[in-house]
Amino acid sequence: MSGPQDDEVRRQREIERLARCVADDEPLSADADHEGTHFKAFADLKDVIDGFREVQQRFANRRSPSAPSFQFGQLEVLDKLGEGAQAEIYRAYDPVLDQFFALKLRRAEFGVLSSDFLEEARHLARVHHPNIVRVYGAANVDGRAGLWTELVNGQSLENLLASNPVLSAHDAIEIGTKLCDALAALHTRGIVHGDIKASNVMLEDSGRVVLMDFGAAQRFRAAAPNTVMIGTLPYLAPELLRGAVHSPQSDIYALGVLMFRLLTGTFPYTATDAETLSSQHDASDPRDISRLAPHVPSHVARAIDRAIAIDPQRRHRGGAAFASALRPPTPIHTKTGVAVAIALLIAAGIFAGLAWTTNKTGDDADVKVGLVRETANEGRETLQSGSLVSLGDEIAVEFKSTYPAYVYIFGSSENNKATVLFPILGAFPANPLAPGTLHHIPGSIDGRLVDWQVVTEAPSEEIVVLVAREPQPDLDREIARLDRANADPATASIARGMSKLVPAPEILTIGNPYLREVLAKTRLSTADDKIRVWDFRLPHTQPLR
Amino acid sequence: MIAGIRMHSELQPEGAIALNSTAALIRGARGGDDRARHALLKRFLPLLLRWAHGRLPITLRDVNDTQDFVQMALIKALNQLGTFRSDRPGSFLIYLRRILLNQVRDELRRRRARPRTVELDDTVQQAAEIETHIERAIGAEKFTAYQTAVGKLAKRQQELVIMRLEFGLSYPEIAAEVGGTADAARVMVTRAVAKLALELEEVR
Repeated sequence: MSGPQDDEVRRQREIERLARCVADDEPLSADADHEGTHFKAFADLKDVIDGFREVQQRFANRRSPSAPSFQFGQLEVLDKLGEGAQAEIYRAYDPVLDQFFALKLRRAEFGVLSSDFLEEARHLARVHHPNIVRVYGAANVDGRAGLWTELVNGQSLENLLASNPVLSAHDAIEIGTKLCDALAALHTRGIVHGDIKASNVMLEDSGRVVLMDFGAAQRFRAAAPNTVMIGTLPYLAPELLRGAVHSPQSDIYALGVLMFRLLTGTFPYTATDAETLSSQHDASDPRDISRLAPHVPSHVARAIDRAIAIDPQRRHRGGAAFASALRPPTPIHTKTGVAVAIALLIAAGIFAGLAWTTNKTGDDADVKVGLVRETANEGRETLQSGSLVSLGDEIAVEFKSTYPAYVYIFGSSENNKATVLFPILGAFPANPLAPGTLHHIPGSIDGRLVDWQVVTEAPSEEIVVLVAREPQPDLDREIARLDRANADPATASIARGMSKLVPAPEILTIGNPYLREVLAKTRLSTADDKIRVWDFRLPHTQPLR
Repeated sequence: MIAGIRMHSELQPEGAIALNSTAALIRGARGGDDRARHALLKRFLPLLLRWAHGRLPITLRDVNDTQDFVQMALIKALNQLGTFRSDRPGSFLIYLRRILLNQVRDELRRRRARPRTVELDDTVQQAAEIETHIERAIGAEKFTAYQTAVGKLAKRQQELVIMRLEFGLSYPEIAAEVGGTADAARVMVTRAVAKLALELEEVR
């Protein structure tokens, strides 16, 4: 016989036994004498604990956690993200800034001088662009060089291609134009990337395209010849294989190869070693992108063909030119805002009923008008009569007058379209242009100097410059209205196209019928007939290859 | 200012929690000692990760990798060490767990764009509100009952249960955190588990 006291003692002992089983992660076994007393509660608890263990184990098998491994100055280095021949990349945290970074540490055994390694940081520090990875700091700590940049959360283009070897034309163009913009920003600052390839492009989760890894970057104007060839074979421009140094043109070539790959899943040439690749460059054309990828729009195929031209001088003249060529070949391209189709004005009846006659009067000494072309290496080049222009050329007007001048510039192309190139809403300078000053037209937007850019293939084009001493309210009103409808100051340059330069005849005969009609029908306000018109006609170079 | 590379192995060997040093490390970290701060990171990140696997809301996992999330939570916790008030040893892990759960709640709030009325200190309730892989594994009802039962325990017993059952700390590790011997820790944990089971019975 046992009394209630004994039962309570046994119950407590049973509870303790079951609790110990749960606490010790031991299997539960019911005591036959006390089954059901509290067993169900402990069994439920054990189920929960087993659930903890099971799920933890499941995730632990997927990915082993990595603890912070060391300190680099004030940075807490958390885990390794990747590594290359010269450097290792870590995720790091700066407790002072409360921010995560990607820390790139030079591999000590590689032999690259710290000063050379840190040169990458100096390159990056000069550039602020949404499509270029941003550097936050660099240091040489205890003999180990490191630089830290923004941590881009996403995947590399290389990883994307591993699972999706061919992108849609839309996606490839989107990525390509962003990279073109990045290259334009770099080249403007005299820097070449030197290793454009899929693994050096990150696609952030937000969709941002970010150009990474400037380990091969250099100041191209100061680059010494015969340096060690750096780059990745399929992306190397032919001239690099012959010993040339990296240049904006070799970056354009590499980007062309990358675009080729995005759209076809393969490279333009099949060689897997430098010697064979060089032979293929000399002996054969690249693979036909249109045949490999019929879905690629013809203008994109042409743009890529141009980018991977063997002759560097036949490639796009920079990232902006390449980007423009990748965009759909709309005759009027409003990359930054104010290229307006005069054809649309006519269609809208804006100039209907206006009477205007073109004439060219006044003293040449009062006004100087010249066309210039921006070049990557040599600054501005004055365009002479007969100069050829190419897709991507960046062109401006240099203007100076002895009186306050009201300047209107129209562009045209051979496809019966026309644009208003100046004045530009939101740009500086604006009419009237101050006398005695050499003005760069189209001027600057948000403090950034912009040019017009040739964006379409065409046999020839035409620019008409109209200079008046008085305001032209009819034109101002219409242009201002259209400016507000089209202005997009967020972007950079202004598109248009040009060709052979022809001095205007004394009695003007505007070549483009649309523009001729516009000018013929537009009533200009003039009290003294001091309105002057220049008509420049410019042929394109022929398509490449 | 950059001071230098310090390999963590110079600070302490890999492995289990060092005895009776958490409080000292917290004091050091509060005083600006980077080594102490780093040691805390090193010590608690694996624990929190192990605990968090499967405990974070499923809805977070499409964009927030568990490891990233836990790292961020831990680093934020270390950044606000000044707010940690401990009346007894062993509380720091529970404090970190609470921070992590708060982070989860904030993230859910941000993503769902609707406020939740949860007492910040009521971590048990917070955990119960978050759909997790564990809930899917053992059933939401059973898990909620567990959370509720844990919430009915005294603070010290809550900590012991969480350290042992949720974080999977060994008895020596628990002893290192709360003081005493491993055997004493085992006795305390067993008592807490017994109390928890009885509370669970009540909840059911």
